[in-house]
Amino acid sequence: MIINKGNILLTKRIIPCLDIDKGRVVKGTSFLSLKDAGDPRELSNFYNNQGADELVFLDITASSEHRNIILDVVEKVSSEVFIPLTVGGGIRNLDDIRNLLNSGADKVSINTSAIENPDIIRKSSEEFGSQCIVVAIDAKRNNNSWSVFTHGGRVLTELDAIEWAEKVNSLGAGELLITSMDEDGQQKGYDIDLLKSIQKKVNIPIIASGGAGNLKHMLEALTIGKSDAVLAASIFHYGKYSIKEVKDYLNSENVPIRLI
Amino acid sequence: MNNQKIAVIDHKCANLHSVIKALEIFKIDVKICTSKTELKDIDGIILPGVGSFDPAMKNLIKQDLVDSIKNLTFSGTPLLGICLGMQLLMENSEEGSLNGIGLINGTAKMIESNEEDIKIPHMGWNNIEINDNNNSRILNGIKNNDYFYFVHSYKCIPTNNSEVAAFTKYGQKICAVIEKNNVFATQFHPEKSGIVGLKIYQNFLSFIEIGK
Repeated sequence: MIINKGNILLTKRIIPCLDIDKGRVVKGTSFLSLKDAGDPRELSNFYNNQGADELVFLDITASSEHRNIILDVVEKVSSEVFIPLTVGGGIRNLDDIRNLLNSGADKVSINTSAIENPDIIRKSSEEFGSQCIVVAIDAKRNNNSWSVFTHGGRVLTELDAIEWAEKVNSLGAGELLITSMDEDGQQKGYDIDLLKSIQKKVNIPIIASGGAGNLKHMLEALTIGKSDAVLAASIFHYGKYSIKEVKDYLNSENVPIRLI
Repeated sequence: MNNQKIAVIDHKCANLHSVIKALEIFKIDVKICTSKTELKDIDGIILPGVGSFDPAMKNLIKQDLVDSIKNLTFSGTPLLGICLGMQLLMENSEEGSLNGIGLINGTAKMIESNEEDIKIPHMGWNNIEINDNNNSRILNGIKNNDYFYFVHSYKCIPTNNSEVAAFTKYGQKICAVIEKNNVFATQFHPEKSGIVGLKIYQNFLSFIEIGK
């Protein structure tokens, strides 16, 4: 697809993702081996200064006793970093969503609880507005289709990813965060077929996630995959590319980008 | 700017947190106002807003704040409306049946979406074009094509075009900034638009300082 820069609608967003466990940033390969990669405040400021368009925090803290730590992280980051913040992980009900929004989150990302109780999508989008309800879908290829996984990729469901995406769209989700479980942490590129297939069926923005290894992967997700945003973790955390390098490259490839 | 007291109107349909955090950067005194009696001894008013028109207006009416906001701005108190807060300043909106505050003549209408690419809400970073006829003070130091973060489904249409300080394009021209005497408003979220967004708050506070 050729993007005509003279007719820009919205810029494509570059989003670093911070996996947070008990208030610290971690990132693993294919969700298994976790490695401490920093303090969320420092990292958020760092990415903001580099020109990140948005930040996503995924709280992977397992024990409920440590759940509230994420509220403190969001509160602190949102006092210093003035770009949209999306927070996901462990959200069970409207109170969880309200607490996150009151702590300074602009959007929440729901995954497992949306599958267990799809009505949470309708209720939360009615209460807080569609614009702050992101539904995360973890999908894994299964011949010619994709299956949906929950619980951070550990539990297989009977849901088809494309059908589920259509359904959450109709229930009032404002955005989709599509993670390819096959590609996540592999750095071999986003699952372009998955992105394209979902894009055809929904009319809400799509954030592509899972598999970013180089600049071309991001370009492909935004152009061939028609995603509205690309999310990546490892390549940013380990300094393979800066946000600025990604943006300069995409700009040189005629992708509409917010340059700062 | 240390002595300024800014009222942030809490009509229960707003994400006050980031607005207050942005103001705190400038070390000013922030007063959250939920009623008419609280809206006293203040140097400026911020009317934020996320959500829909009627519930926000309904609360403003219930809190007896509509006339107070109007009277204070008529007597010169600077006001900054943000996002839904901008739309509430209009006479009315297609989104609701209640009257708006009416400080700006005109209405708010749903964003037109007849093309596949025009998704609603208009959500993301978009650049603005500054209207040279407005001589905007709220956009001081902000350049044509600077990017701001938008999240909205309705657009303001002021009757008097010269009150539009800047617009953005989203398959159509959309009013992005309104400026009329001491009334300012942005459709985008300056508190979510990075460093350039904080400049809007800085300009608002400078305007108050000069008027004091």
